[in-house]
Amino acid sequence: MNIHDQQVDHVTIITIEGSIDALTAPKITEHIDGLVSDGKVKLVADFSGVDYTSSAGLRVLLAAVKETRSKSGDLFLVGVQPDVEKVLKLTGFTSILKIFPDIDSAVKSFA
Amino acid sequence: MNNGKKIALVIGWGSVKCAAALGLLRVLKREGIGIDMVIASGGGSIFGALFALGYDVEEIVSMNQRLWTHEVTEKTNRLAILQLILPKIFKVGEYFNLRDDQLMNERLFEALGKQTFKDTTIPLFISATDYKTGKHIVISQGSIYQAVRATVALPLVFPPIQVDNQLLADGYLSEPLPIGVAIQEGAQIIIAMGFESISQEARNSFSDYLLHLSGILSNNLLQASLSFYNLAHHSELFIIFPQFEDDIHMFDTHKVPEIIQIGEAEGEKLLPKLKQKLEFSQ
Amino acid sequence: MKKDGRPSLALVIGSGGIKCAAAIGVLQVLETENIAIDMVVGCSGGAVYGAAIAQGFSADQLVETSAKAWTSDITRRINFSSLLKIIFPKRFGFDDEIGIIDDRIMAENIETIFGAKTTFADTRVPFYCVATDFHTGEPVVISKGKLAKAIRISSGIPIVFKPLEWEGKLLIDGALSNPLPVDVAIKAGADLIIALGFEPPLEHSVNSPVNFASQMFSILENQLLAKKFAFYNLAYHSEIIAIVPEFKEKIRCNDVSKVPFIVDQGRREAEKHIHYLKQALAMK
Repeated sequence: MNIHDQQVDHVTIITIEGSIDALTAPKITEHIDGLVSDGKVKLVADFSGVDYTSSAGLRVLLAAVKETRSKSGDLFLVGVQPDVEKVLKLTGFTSILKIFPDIDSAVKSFA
Repeated sequence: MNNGKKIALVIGWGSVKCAAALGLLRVLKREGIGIDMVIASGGGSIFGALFALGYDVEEIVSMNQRLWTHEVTEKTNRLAILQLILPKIFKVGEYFNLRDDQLMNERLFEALGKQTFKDTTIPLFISATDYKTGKHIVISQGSIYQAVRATVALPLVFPPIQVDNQLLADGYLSEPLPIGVAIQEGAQIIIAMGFESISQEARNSFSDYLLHLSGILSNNLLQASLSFYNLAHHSELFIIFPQFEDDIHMFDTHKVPEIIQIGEAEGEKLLPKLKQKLEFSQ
Repeated sequence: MKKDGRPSLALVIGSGGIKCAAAIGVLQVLETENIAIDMVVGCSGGAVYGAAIAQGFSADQLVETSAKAWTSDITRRINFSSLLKIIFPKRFGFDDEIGIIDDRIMAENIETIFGAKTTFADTRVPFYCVATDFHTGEPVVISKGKLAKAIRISSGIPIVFKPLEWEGKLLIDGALSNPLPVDVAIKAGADLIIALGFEPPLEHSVNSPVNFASQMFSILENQLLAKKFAFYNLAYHSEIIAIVPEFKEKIRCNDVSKVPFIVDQGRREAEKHIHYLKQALAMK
């Protein structure tokens, strides 16, 4: 699983590739914790390269969403693949966080 | 006001019991605590919409007494009951409903008229269900009358309505207490008022039996939703389930004053905790 | 956690009628990889396959089980006394124990598969099934007593089959309170869970009263499945792998000819997860 980010104005775009599960969860937590402590709380996660998630992975994602919101930011998702979207729907994630069709619209939503 | 914290009011499905939300609003208004967004499902969407449009709680209470008389829901559609029992003999229409909705539609229109979501003073979100796909739909634009009418369409009681390409029904089928919307919209404080639907009375007919079974499903759905949102939210979440001593049936509109009082009592109970959260500064 | 430090694996099969045969496909994939299941939980149709898997039936034996369980005569005999109570409640007296279809054949089929005397204690790995209390709406876990009776109770779709008494409660289909009972596995100590779930099918048209009413139940059921799963997903530390096969065409409840197709779908879906499952099992 790879994770890297880039800055677009005041928004940080996090690109994740691979699987988000119990094995890769700690790495994601560490990365996002780092961003938040740097004051970067407006996050857009590009999921186009995410091919798998499990419940452990989703818990970590939710923790990230909560952390950013508690500091007046948020975490939006972009480019969710069909198999992953199925899991997001089943686990209720689609009803508590916002998913955008592309990075631009997600970034604009922070304005 | 509110110390910069956005407060969302979520009114769950509960038909006439939703009037308790008016009691809660009365108490909040007295204390100078404002609501920044309203999310409503089912019968409560009428009150939610009127409040979001800027009507005073007292105005809504008197409108309520004038509009929702027992007649509105009394006219049972006899043809529909026969359709249920002997479908082959009595031809079935597009959908099947037990109560004549004409009077209700008139009253709703009288209250909401041609107002749109743009006319509201605070954001309003009305929760409905797409009857064909079972998906939860959040309506936040267009005609308020249509949105409210769609969400009051409790299947087997009032017919769903066609809005554009969708057949819309009561939000309770997909989200009995739509807290998710408040979470998505970033509210820092969420006050959610919900109502349980299981009645303890004995079942004397098949339609009682059906209602009981759907009540089991919807109560379980409500509980599961709450448990989930409780873990998923990032804010302060206050959940209120007013308790009613007498058995209040779906359309007991004459009991509204008593229901509002119960809502006020809940408001008083909530006040100290709410004030504490509002005064806390980071 | 098992004695040798490996995570314990549970298979949870949710309600889905004959679609639960997808569990056979899942089992095939696990058998190929020599992965053993340590406990099984089943709801409704899932209880039939779940109990069979807990008994140690192989994937091949399970295919036979499908043919024995879903026979075409299951719904043949109408329970006339219930029908009369429904149509003329005042004359015949309405009560809660109505069921339009006589459940004798269904009960016989289950007994043929499992044996009339087999109990929960006879299974090779622990098995649990879920039902719903008709009066309170709460979920009820059954983990002892006669296996056949428990399965009949868990699959008791209301209105179709009459509710049955068990330990002083009147019970119906578990799907009305806990369609994919992941929590039962977690509470029984499972570390890793394969949750095989099925979304209730939606009607193509809602024109007749029966379709209209049935749609209402399907919508509520779908939402209940999702919200409960969403909660279990967040509430516990157990790792849950969700397998939700999709069936584009509607499958009628006793269309046994569709079983090979269903098994195949189950296998395909399971194959998507096997890589991660093996990694998770290797974790300490």
